[in-house]
Amino acid sequence: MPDIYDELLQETFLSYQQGCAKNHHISPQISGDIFSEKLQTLTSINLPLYDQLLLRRYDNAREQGLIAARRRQLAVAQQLFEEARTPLEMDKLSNEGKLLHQSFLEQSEAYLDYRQNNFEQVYHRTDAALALDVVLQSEYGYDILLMHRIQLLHNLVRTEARRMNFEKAIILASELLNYLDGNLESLSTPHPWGSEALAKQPQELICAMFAQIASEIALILTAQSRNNVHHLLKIVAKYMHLSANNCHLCHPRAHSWFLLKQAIAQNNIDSFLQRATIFLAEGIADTPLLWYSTILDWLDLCSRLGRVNLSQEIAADAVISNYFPRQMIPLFHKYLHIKKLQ
Amino acid sequence: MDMKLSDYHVTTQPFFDELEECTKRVIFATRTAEVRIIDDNSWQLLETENFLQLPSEILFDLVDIELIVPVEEDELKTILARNDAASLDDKSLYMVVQPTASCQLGCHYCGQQHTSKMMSQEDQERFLERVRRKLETKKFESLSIGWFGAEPLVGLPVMRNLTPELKSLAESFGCSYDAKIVTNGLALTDKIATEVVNELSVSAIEITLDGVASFHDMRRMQKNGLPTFDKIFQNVVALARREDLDIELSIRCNVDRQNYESVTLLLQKLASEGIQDRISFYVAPIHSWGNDAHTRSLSKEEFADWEINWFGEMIELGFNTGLVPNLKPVVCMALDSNAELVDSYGNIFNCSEVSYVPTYGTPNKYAIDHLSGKKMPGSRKRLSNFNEEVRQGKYSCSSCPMLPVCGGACPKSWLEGIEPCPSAKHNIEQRLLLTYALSRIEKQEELKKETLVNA
Repeated sequence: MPDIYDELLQETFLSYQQGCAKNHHISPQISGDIFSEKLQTLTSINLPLYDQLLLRRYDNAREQGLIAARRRQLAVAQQLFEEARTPLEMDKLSNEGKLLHQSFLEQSEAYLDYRQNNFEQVYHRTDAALALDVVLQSEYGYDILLMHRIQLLHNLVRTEARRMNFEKAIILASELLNYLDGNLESLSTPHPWGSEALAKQPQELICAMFAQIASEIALILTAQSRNNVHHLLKIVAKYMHLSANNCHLCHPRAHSWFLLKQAIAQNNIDSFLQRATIFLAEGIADTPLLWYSTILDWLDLCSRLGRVNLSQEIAADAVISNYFPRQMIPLFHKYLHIKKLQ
Repeated sequence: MDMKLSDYHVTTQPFFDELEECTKRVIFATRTAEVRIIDDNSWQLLETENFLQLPSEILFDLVDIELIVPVEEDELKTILARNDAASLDDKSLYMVVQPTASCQLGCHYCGQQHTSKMMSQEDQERFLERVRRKLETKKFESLSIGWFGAEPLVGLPVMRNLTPELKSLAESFGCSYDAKIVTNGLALTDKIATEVVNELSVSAIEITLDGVASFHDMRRMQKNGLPTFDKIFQNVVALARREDLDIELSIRCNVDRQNYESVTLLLQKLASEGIQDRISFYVAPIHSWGNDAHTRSLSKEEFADWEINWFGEMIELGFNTGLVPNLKPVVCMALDSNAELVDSYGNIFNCSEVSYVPTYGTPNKYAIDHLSGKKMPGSRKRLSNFNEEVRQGKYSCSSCPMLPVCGGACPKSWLEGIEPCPSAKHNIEQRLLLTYALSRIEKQEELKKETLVNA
């Protein structure tokens, strides 16, 4: 391999160090807060106090169920969700309260189905939640639930990836990104979308959602062969407008990542290293998965070019970082192993 | 307002807070094991269910901790359903092994019949096969072994044989491995402790001391009458001081009318060795072990009162105390559908209080199986059906506000007609007040520190 890359690799390494030194600003938590705050404001205005108290009681059960499902305590999760279903059978709860509670409950139970690989049921419940959100949006003025609907579709992206239907996952994710970028009026689901509804959403929430879905794509691609990555990125390019001129986009940084990912998939090493140098220097920001996926590509490149030594510090450093995505641990171990062998 | 005050709460009597100059109560919401301090006025509103007059922030918080619940809610049903689910979700395979029926001690309250029987090689192999079969039934995250007696360290050769095999089994099923031991501590010398922790992977050790020598030696003497306190105490102190061993060391003090006055002396002796922050300490009332030992016990109320004194002394001496109980969804091994105890004869139980106890007959009426496959008289359901029996109102647990944090204490005792309610049921108010007092002292100390820093 030519030595011409040495300088570029070194520059990328320096920008990685520069990026590490930057203050981290992780926003998924913040975006979740914005969403909850908006929703809570609406419910406190719209719903009678009794509804609010009742929903609070059973929403806690739903949330505890979700935590249990994440911890693989499936029987506890099942039990708590069953408990959380109680108010849906109560006459005293308003229709609006029921719709709201059911939508989030369907979503949470879909997660339990996902953990149990019951994918048909995931779709069934997600469809139900989407339909409930549409009613709440159109009839009760819950505009903010558009973001919940996007989150529900994001969950389907994850479901398709779990089912190894990577193309389907990437198509849906790309459509969602294109919609969030304001380039699509509708998505391929039987529900109303439109740019007007999107315009009513807080920009930082749109931006956080974009980062989240782009990160999902990154996660899907990291587990693929180079040929597959190339193929799947072509699908992304077909559905999204990827451009270097990104000033009008909702998340320019995620767009930059797509471009550098395209470059490495096309084996355009110069372009990848130049773009990665800029990208890594900006630090993790709100997209740790994109940052570490770039590092992974860079490590892979170093390995291909026989520059293993340079990559060792990064690999060892990455896995101990607080922001390192646990889903990527096995992928990084490969590079740590090289270190051990040497 | 169709909400109600949950049945599952305990509140203290009102007390006057001199700093804030108002009357308060401490409330313990047992469904979530959460504690709140509330002014007496708010308590009156709660008690009379005038919830709407409470500030909304407080109201929502009290719903969050399940102190205020919907009127329609069948609370007992909710609690037991959660407990049942927690039993099903247990990801740890817990197996208790009694490697021998032998014990050097002849404690007067012990209901076990000790013999020189060690678990045979054949039974050890059968036991390993049984563990393997259990590990195959579902995905466990850990294999957890409890070494019990009689005195497990007398059965050290069996522990040495089984441990590497059990660890290897755990590894082959992708499980972590951990072990604990309940020992009288007599044989736990420096050398044995090192082996037990480093070679046999024991990470938690519980040792019993029934007071200082003059009391302990009257109760926990060797079978030949020789005293044991000095040796055990020496082992405890040496072990607690070991920086190289990563263990949780717990001291249990069994009390009845004959030795309760000695608890304070024991606490002082442990503290004088400077090990109070390296051990946990708890006092347990003597209970029936298939015998009449409980007849010499302090009454529940007496024990509860004394325990508060001991807590106070422990706090003063720098021991850690667990004043407020946590949730207890799975009360004991009987409610864990996979857990088992195997004794050195190969009998299998789902309770740790019944093996080697002659009053339970031969074969033991609680034995649910035998390593050889021999039919035994007991059935797992006899004790594991406990939650269902509570649901049916068979025991007073079904109306007890402490159920979520006690779980029912001991299904076997209920079955035998003995009320096993823990001391917390009788002294929870004092525990809550003590917790509050401690939090105030800490707060005042923090304020003092801040003042000093600012000055």
